[in-house]
Amino acid sequence: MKVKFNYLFLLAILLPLALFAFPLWKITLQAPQYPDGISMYIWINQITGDSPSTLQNINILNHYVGMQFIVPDSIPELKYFPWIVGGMSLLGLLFFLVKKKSLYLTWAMIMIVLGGLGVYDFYLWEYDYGHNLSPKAPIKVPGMAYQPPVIGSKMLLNFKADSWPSTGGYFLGAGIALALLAFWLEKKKTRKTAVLEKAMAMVALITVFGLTSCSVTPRPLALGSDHCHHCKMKIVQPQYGAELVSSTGKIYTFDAVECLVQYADENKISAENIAFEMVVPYDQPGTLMDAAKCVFIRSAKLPSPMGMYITALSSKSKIEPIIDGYDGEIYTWEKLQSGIDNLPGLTAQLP
Amino acid sequence: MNVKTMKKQHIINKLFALVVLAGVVTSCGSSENSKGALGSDVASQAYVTPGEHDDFYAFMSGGFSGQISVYGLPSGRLFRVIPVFSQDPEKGYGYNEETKPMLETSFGFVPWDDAHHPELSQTNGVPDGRWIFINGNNTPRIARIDLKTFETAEIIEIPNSGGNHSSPFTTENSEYIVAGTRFSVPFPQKDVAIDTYKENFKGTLSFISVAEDGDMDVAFQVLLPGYDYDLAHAGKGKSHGWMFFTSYNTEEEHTLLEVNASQRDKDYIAAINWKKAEEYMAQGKFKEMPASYVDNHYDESKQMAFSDTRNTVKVLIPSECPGLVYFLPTPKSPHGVDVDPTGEFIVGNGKLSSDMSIHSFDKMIKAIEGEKFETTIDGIPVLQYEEVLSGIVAQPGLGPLHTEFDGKGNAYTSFFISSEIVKWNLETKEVLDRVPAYYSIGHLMIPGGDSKKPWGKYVVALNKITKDRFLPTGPELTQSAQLYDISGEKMKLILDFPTIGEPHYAQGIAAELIAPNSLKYYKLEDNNHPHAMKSPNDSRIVRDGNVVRVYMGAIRSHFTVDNLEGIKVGDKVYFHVTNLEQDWDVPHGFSVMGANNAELLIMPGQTETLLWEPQREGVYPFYCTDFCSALHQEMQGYARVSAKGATTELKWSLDE
Repeated sequence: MKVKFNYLFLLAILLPLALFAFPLWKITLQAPQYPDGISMYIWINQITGDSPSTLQNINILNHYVGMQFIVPDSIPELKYFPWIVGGMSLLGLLFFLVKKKSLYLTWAMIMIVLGGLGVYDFYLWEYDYGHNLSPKAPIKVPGMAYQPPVIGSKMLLNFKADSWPSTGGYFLGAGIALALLAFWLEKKKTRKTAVLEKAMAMVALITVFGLTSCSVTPRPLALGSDHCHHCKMKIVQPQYGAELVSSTGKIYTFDAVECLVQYADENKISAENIAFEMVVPYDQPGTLMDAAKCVFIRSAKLPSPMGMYITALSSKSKIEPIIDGYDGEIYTWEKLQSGIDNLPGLTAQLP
Repeated sequence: MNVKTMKKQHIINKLFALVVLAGVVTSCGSSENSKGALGSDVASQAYVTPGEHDDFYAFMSGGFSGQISVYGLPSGRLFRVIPVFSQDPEKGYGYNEETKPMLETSFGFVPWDDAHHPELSQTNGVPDGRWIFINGNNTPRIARIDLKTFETAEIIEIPNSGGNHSSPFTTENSEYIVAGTRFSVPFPQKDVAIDTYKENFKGTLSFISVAEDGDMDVAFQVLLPGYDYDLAHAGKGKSHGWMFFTSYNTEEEHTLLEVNASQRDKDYIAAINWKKAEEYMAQGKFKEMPASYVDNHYDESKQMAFSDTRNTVKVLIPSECPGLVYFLPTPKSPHGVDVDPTGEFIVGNGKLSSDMSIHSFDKMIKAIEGEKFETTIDGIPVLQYEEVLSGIVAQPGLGPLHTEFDGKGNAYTSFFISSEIVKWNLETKEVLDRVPAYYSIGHLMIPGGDSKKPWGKYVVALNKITKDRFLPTGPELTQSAQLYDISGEKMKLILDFPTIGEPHYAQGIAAELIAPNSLKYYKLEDNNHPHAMKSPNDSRIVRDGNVVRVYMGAIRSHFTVDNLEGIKVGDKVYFHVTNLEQDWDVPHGFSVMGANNAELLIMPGQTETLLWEPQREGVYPFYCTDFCSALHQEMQGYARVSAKGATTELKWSLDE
């Protein structure tokens, strides 16, 4: 029996047409006073929001930090993207009719290259919006840029920005994947049963891998809304904080390094159950860094939120610019964990 | 010791004795006081975790504040005060040009009233969350509040009325709400000697029709003897089609009523067959009488109120309309009249009577059919008391005022004098439980408790006096509400909370019938205000004689024009401010220095107008009064005022 994988390809080239009905990408901004979040959808031909006024509301928020207004009419990509997507499906149809299986691969490759270019273009726009700030902005935070991530999560001042593909984006991805699959299956048609099994196994493997790799990752601390799992206080200081990610992907947030250490200790969370131990370096506020790569200093001039005077730094070289004339003890992550119960007492010497 | 100090000592001794006595008396009373009632587990029943929502909305009349306050139950948290009959400078209500017409009457602008009885609109005898109505007692009016926006949508004046107290109780599908006059007045109003009361004074009971879109009209009035018509409630289920009004002063006295109107053993409950009234209306059996009253509408599309004057009213006269009205004798100066969820029991709360008389609807119909009449007054048959009586609740307490129902066959009656709520069984008339109210309870309210399907979980006591219940605040103390859990056999006090003004009646409704429909903001594209702006580009100033119109937008965090010049002393300056925001919970305020006016408080998508008549030359700041954003303090501007006849050019700008 002859299995016709060319129909798989036909399906593959039609899937991207879903981009005319669904958005490609979604960026969501979350902050305490926006309980539902503000979502912006990027289509191939327009930019929309949850309500007709979403874009206006985002623009109002953005103008405080001097970002440009997002005016869809001024973005040329939104004019020619529909032609590219339509053109690619047409080209695919042509390849389908030609019935040459290597063209399947060619189509998928062109799509991947175009997709890559599209993502790069998206990055450039985001970079421009995030960095090209008005010099007259009412709120200026030195060194702060407001570029949302291309994919993933990031804290932008009080907002957590999530950027992920939306429905249309998944259709596009599925189209490319199907085209590749069609090419591969056509090529190995002779051993079709084994191939099918293999393909299933591959899909299953990819799914499992995809799921686990998605969930077991640290996420940024949400200042003002995350709580410390140990002392139950709100996490508010951008210079301090820590996060523990278990091997099953459960995230524990802390307002101070000492809270993480004590929590892990008291709850007997052993090393094999820990995927990540992250801390906020004092010199890189609001970001998380692998605890093992940080150094920890104890200084009476820097009281940490739980009062143990432990401050993480991204490297030893950061000590001098931060603490004038420092002469205390420096701990590695390992040393700090084992010695936390026997640290010498300190009395605050605040300037 | 001289005489003076001896006297002093004597007085101190006397006082000491009094204090001891008072201590004994209060300590006796306090064994049942709040501490005992408020066990630790009970307090948690009124606790709503921060961030969580209440199960019920409670709408409380503001009494002499003229407004409605909106609370959550069981927490007792105050959410909003809806301006209705009184000017409210906080919201600009009755001050801005848009809402001034809402307070127009045939007497001109009346900026205050006494609001007593909120009443939710109903469908099939159950509150539906579309509107809430409330009466203005002093200058007879009824208001309708839209529960999508929580704003007053209409106020209609009631003609031939002198104290709109027995109002605005609704029929099963809000076909009508009623307005009975508490004070009878000359009919028609004229200059007569007060001691001609008996011949010249009449009482009217008005039926206000409510259209599909809520529009109210005085459909007809029923002309009755000059009694005081106190309260009302509609029949339901089998008694749907009837409306019951209590009356006192059937003595028809006109002076020292506290004595002279308390002489008769029985007064009447007037039972009006309004379905019959509709037939008579269709047959044209009404008299068209001249009357002057106004109907004020707030047009949500134009975002502005309009006042219409009406000149006639249709009146039905009972002697010409047999079967329209019957009197049910009820002891003694009955206050509330309450119909149970089945429509069978008509509870007359005889406030000066030691027993409570409960009438039966079925018996009433039989008595009418059997013509069991005691007498006839002005063509109105008076039914024989025993023939309509279902039974009496013997000596339940002192001063019964109002009764609500839990839908499980029980009634809850408030007793003003003995300051308590008494629970009793409708069938057996047996008293089941009683709890004290602190103090002097007037109305009481069970969510849906006057409808066909009460949510019989809580009862709220609405108290007139608080004395020592809260921290003192000088001579004027708060009035209060108290929440009791009635889900068990015994009532349990779980919360005390203060109220705005004097709460008379209240209404409660399950939150899910209102919350999902609550409007988040007005759509700018639907704003048809004649002076609206659609975008910042519409900002401008227009002069026409001495009228200057400023078209100004408000959007975080600036006014779209912030420097105005060319205004002169003697001008009438209208600031038409449009809130250009299209997001939830972003109001902007507007105020200008020295304006003899209030502020504007403008919701997103709305346009409001402030009239300013500058009196002195100078430069005057204006600013946003509602903390709208991080740069709210910067949301300001200046208006330059030149001398009368100056040649300053009309100019406006932003960021120049």
